[in-house]
Amino acid sequence: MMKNNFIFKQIKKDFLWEFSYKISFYGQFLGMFLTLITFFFLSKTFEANQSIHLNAYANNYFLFSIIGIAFLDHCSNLVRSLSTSIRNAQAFGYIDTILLSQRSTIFVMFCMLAYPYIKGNLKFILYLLFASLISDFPLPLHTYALASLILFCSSLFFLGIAFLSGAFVLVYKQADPTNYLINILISLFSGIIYPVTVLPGYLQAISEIIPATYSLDLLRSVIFNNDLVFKIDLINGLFTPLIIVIISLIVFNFAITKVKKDGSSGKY
Amino acid sequence: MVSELVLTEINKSFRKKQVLKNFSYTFELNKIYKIMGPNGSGKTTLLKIIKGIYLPDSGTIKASFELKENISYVDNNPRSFFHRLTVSENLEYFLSLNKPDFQFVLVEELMDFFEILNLRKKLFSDLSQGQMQLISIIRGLANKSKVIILDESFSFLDKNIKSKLQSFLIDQQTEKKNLILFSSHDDIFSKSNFIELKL
Repeated sequence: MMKNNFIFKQIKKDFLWEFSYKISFYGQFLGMFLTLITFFFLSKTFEANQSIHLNAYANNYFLFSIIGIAFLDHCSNLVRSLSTSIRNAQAFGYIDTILLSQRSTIFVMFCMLAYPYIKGNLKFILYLLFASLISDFPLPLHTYALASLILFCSSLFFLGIAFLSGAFVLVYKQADPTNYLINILISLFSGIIYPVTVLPGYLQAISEIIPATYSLDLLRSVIFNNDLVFKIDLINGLFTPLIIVIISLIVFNFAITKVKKDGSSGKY
Repeated sequence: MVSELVLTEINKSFRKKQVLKNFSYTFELNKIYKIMGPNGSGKTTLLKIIKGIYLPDSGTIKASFELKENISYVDNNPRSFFHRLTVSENLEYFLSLNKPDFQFVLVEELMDFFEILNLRKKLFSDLSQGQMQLISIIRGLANKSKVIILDESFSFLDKNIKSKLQSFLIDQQTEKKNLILFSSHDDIFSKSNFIELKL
C-alpha cells in the first residue's frame, strides 16, 4: 500500500534530493546549534534582570526566544518550500510534467509540502529538546506531542501562504514578495524574539490579527505552564487560516490557467 | 465510436503574434503523423496545445477517450529531471505522478528493450545527452498512453537507438493502436510509415 502511495514517493524523492547536497543538509543542523548558542549567551546578558514582559514565561528568555525562532524556522521553510520546488521545476524544465500529471495539481503541491513539514516539525522538537536541556527546564514528553499538534494546526495558515507564494513564482518566476512579507510581519509582530506586550498598543492590534501570534501564545502556554487544556480561538485558529487557504487555492488555480494561456510555465 | 482526436478552429497567439490560425484537423488512432514546417511555424505550439500545456485562445479539442490520462509528451529538453538522483529514482517519481497503479516493471522492460538496464543506478547527471534523451523518451512511453507526442526528441540519439525506437513505435501503432505525433528535423521513420502534416 505504502509502496504505491504518491505522498510517500514524494517524501522519499524530496529527502533524497536534499540529502544529495550533503553540506547543505548537515549545515542546517549545525545552524541550529549556532542559534542555540547565540541565544543562550544573549539571554545570559540580562538574566539577572526580571522583566515584567517575561513573567509569564518563567523569566526564561532563552527558552522563550528559541520557541519563537524554531516556530519561525518551521513556518518560513514551509512557506518557502513550495515556491522553491516550483522554481526548481521551472529551471530544470519539468514543471509541465508536474502541472499536467494525471493527479490533481493541488494534491501534488500538497504532497510537495509533506517533507518540509515533517523536517520542520523534527527541527522544532530538536530545538525544544536542546533548549530545555541547556536551560535546565525539563519538559514532559506530552509537551512535545502537544507542541507538534499546535504546529500542525497552525500550519493551515502557512499552507495558504505557501500556495500564494507558489502562485507568484509560477507567474513571475523570481518574484516572491509573499514569503518576504510574511517573514517580516511575523518577525516583527508575532512575538518571535520579544513578547508582543513590549509593542505599543497600536502595533499590538496588528499582532492580534496575525494567526501566528495566536499559535505562538498557545505553544508557550503549553511549554511554560504545562497547560493541557487550552482554549481554541475559532476566529484566529481556524476561520482566518481557512479563508486564506481558500483564497490562495483560487489564486493558485488562476496562476496555472494564466501560464497555460501565455505559454510561460517553463519559460524561466 | 470513432477512435480519433479532433481539433477544430484552433487559434493561438503569443504577444499579438498569431502562431496558429483556424487550425482544424482530425488525427486517427493507429496512425503516425509527422508535424512539419519551418522554425517558428507552430509545431511545438500545436503539440503543446494537444497535450494541454498551452490553452488555445479559441477552438476545441475533442477525443473519443479521456484526454488528460491518455497523452504522453516527450519534449525536446532531455535535462528535465532531478540530476542528483539516480535514473530509477527519477523514473519512479515522475511515473508515480501519472499512474496511481503504475508498476516499475514496465520501465524495466523498456530499459531492457533499449539495452540500458545498466543505467538504473546511475546518477542522472552522469549520463550522456543521448542517454538523457532516451530516459526522457522512456518516461513518456512507460505511461502507456493512447497518444504519444515526441517533440524534437531524437536529436541526441545514435543510429542504433533510433532504429530500435522506430520499431518500438511502429509496434505501438500497429498492435496497441496508438496515435503517434512527432516533429523532428531527423527522420527516424521511413516515409511510408507516417502521414505528413504541414503547418
